[in-house]
Amino acid sequence: MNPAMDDSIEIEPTPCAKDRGNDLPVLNEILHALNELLTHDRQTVIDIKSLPFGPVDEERLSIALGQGEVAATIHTLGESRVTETAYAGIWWVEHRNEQGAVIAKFIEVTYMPDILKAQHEDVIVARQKLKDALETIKLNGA
Amino acid sequence: MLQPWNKNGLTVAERLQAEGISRRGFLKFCATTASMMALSPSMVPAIARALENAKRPSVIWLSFQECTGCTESLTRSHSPNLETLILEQVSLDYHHTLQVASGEAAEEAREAAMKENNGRYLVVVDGSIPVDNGGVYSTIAGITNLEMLRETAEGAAAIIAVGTCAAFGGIGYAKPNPTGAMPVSAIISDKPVINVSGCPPIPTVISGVLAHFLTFDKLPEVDDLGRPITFFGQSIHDRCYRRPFYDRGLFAESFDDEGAKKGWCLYRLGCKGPATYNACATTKWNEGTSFPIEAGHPCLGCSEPDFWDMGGFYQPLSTPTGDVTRTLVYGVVAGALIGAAAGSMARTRKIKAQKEHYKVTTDDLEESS
Amino acid sequence: MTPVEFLAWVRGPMFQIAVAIFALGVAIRIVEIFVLGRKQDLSEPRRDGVVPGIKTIFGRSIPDTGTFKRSPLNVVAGYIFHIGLFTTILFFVPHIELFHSVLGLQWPGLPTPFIDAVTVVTIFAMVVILINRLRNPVLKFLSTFEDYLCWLVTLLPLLTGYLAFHRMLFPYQTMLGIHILSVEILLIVFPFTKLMHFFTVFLARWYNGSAFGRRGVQS
Ligand code: SF4
Repeated sequence: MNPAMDDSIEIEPTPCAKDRGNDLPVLNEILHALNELLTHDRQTVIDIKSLPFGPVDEERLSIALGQGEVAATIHTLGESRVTETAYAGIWWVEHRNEQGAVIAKFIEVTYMPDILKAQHEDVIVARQKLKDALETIKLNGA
Repeated sequence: MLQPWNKNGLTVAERLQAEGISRRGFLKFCATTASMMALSPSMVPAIARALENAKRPSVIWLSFQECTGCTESLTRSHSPNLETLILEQVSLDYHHTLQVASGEAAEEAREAAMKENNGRYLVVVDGSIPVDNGGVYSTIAGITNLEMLRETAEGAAAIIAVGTCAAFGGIGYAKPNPTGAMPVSAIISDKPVINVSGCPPIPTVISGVLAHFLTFDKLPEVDDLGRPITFFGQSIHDRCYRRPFYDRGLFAESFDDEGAKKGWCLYRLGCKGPATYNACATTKWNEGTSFPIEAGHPCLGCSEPDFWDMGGFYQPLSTPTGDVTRTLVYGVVAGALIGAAAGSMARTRKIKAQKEHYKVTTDDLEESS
Repeated sequence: MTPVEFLAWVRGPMFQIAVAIFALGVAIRIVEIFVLGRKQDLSEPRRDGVVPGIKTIFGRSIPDTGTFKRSPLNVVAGYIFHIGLFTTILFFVPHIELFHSVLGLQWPGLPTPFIDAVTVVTIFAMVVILINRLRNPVLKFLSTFEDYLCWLVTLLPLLTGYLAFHRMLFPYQTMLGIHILSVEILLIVFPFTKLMHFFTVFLARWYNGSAFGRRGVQS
């Protein structure tokens, strides 16, 4: 919600029910993406910034999608939040910078967003690190 | 602004790694970069691959006949913000508003960057270039803008014309253009020039184009006005959240009527959105807070050429720009006069013909034969 | 010429030229008709010509049964096309803005989807009319170049307007420019062709009706 918005000004985003306009097509797109995931195992990522949203459309979409079982926080180059919506397989992925400002936001339709998985390159580094750590422990123990 | 470690020659991936940032962090960086470049998220792997090898380009920023609004805009860029952009992604070697050095030292920095990165550096230009009377209307350190642009463009890999002034001439170029202002593309023809128009351009669009160059080592694909298609491929109207109202014919007719309060379409208040190509409607301004139409003001069309001379800002797009009422009145009056004159002339001829009419008798016929 | 320059040209100088020619031409022709007047009717009027004159102006808008039976398609399509044309011209909101800016007059518009549908129907009716003209040997024989020209310059604004609204074919600036230009062509061609019937039709009906009335003939 726009922080500059004054409470005294009433905004009417939906003059009538059939004019939900801006979030409805996205919900349809997401439904289509779920279908793709189930039938072709294809995952979809939607960049929120690419959607023609008005003042309250994003809020409305987020209310429509609801809250799910998973919420994860990643700490790298600022915070990132990955949360599952009330619909399994539909996730919010929100990236913030070091100052805490949201720099990108996606809806991912997948079994598990890639960014949650440990990355191959990091695992290689981890193996080395753990090896080194063990060495040190052994050395100290001896 | 000159950072000694700027020139350590590491790629973006290497540098992030050196700073102890995980692959996951790199993925995040790629995802946000894709979003910033307005590329589809499916491009992330390609971006990751490109960034593995991307080096920080040297950037020379030239400000000519301008108002510094474009630089102001860039300093509001939030993803990445200007600091990270300058410190981590590009090496901004000359920018006379932002750099610490001034006077001769500043010009030396420019010359040094040009020499060191000959053929590889990126030139960013904001402002138009006055060319009348040898370009005397705007000079920096005694050098005319025209001369400085030509000289700096020589060894450039590419030029980014930032803002409507550099891209299309802007306000300097507007009638009557007293300084003979010209856009970059009218002066430089032998280098790739990309136009990031807007008055000012959207900050993330500026950084998005820089990021594209940094990532892929070339400028993004452009439309027929030389603007990056990813940002300028669709009109404001195509992506406007008020579009459903336009389609249904619900319009605000003044700035404080029912329609305005209900957020209806601003076409009748002069919105140029249908004829304006830019990313405002989705990328938005002030860290994604809103954009002019969302704030209740019609689009001025600032990213299009000649937008200053396109009639009034509050004049609907479907109306003529000249004083047609006067033409109509003069036309009707003149037409009526001519018609009356022609009519009465014909009438007099008719009456005269009637008067001169006489019956022909057989005698007459005999006479004439 | 870039699309923007083109749009600026049709909204600026070209619009002025078109309106000037239109206003001048129409005014000359109408005033001339009035000044020329009718041949004096020396016979004693059977009755006053005013009422029959007015009656004819409206009455002839209803097709008489004979005409209708002979070519129902032409009558129906003709009606649809004329009403449709006026609806789209007068009640599409961007057009009302145009009238407002030139004449200072304003009236409520109709919902855009309705106008959109009317446009499609009108274009369709015009195509039917053309096909009918080409297929009917008598009509075809009577048709001149001018008839086809009038048909074309009337169709083009409808077609280009539809394309512009739906943002098809060209970038919007170009398409809108083409649409405005097509209207300008219509305005310029108008005073020199049968399109003048827009103004003269009622005048002619009045003359006919009142003349018949004076002679005591039904019209
Ligand atoms: S406000 Fe402007 S851009 Fe938005 S729908 Fe209306 S005319 Fe189009």
